[in-house]
Amino acid sequence: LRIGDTPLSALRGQLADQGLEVDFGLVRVRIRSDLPTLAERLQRLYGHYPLAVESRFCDVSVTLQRVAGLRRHLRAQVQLIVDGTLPFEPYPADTDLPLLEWGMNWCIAQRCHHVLLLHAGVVERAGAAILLPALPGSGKSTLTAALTLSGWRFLADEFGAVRLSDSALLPVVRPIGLKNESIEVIRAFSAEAVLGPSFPKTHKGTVAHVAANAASVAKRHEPARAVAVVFPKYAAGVSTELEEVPRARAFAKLAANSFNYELLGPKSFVAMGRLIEQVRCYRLTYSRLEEALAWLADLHEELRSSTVHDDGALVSAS
Amino acid sequence: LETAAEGSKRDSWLVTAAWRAARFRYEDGAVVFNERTWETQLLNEAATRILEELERRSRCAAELAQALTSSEGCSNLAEHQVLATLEEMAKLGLVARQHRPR
Repeated sequence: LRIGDTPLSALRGQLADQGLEVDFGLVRVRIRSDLPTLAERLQRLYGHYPLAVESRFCDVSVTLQRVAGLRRHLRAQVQLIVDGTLPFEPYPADTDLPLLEWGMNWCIAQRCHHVLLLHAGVVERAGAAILLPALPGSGKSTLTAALTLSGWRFLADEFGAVRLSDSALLPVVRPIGLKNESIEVIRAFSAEAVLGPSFPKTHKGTVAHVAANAASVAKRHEPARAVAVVFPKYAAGVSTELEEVPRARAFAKLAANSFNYELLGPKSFVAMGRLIEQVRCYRLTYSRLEEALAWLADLHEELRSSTVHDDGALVSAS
Repeated sequence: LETAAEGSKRDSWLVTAAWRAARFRYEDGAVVFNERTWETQLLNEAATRILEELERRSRCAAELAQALTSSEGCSNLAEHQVLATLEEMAKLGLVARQHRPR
């Protein structure tokens, strides 16, 4: 049984009682909440995930609830409790879903130190993945969503999770967070895009989430090998450009883009070095989404047909 | 009498264990992990070639400049530039100076 097929009343009951367990691939999260609006929103966004029939260990347990006290009569707020602690200030009650999504991302960034976590989108086709690391506002999520809606497998939007033992990319299949103009861009891009509600006036502007599709959810435990690292940069009015980035420089850019590179020390160094050895790195500047997708598809095809994966051992001359 | 600068030019240089420990070599240089500080050092092509030359055998800045003249990416590296690079890498713990007696 999938979450999308579960009656809303049952979903509400589970959220309020033992909690809804969702397996995102890299992490399993238990969500508890008695908020009346949340069940329907989660059903839309998490529709393709299986409904857990028995409780298992969860990496993260979060509770989303209304803030009690007199303040609730003036301006209703919600708060996120993570394993008994309150890591964030309360949010307005009508932003329950953004708080939940940001809170879960925060938990992943804080806890998943068994992998090297890069701030990146990841998509895969024909066994070869492209990593899209970027700073906020660079168009990473828009590009990731559009690629996913064009037949690529979606592995991640926020976290490029690199396995330390072999630098394979592990899926973190969670909704894709879009902001402001990107929401309408993706809505117009594909009728198949399943978007949750829009939340205006958050600290990031208007935000909305795109649900992961059934095929990506089904493969959320299947790693992928990267063939390219592409640093995207959206800029209005520019013509599409793809420029190769030398690998030592790309290493430095990726390390700066990581959540836990410094924390993991030699393990992340080796994982990153091996990842960079097996890929080619590029900077993609674009303004026209369709054109960027076509260029990425061509690049992927060229690299996939020419790449023979070589694990490339760490150079060590002890 | 010999000045300090002349003496340092004649000094021989050798790579340390930090360079030998953990590194990845790419087309535009190398990255090295410093196990003592947990810092990652990014080296450009010229610095990397200097280290690779020193890995074969220790030598002075003038000999290195001579050896590198035919190298891609560092063809016009003068002796004083090689020396400056060596001193920079010495601060990172990647090379060490060996005083060569007169």
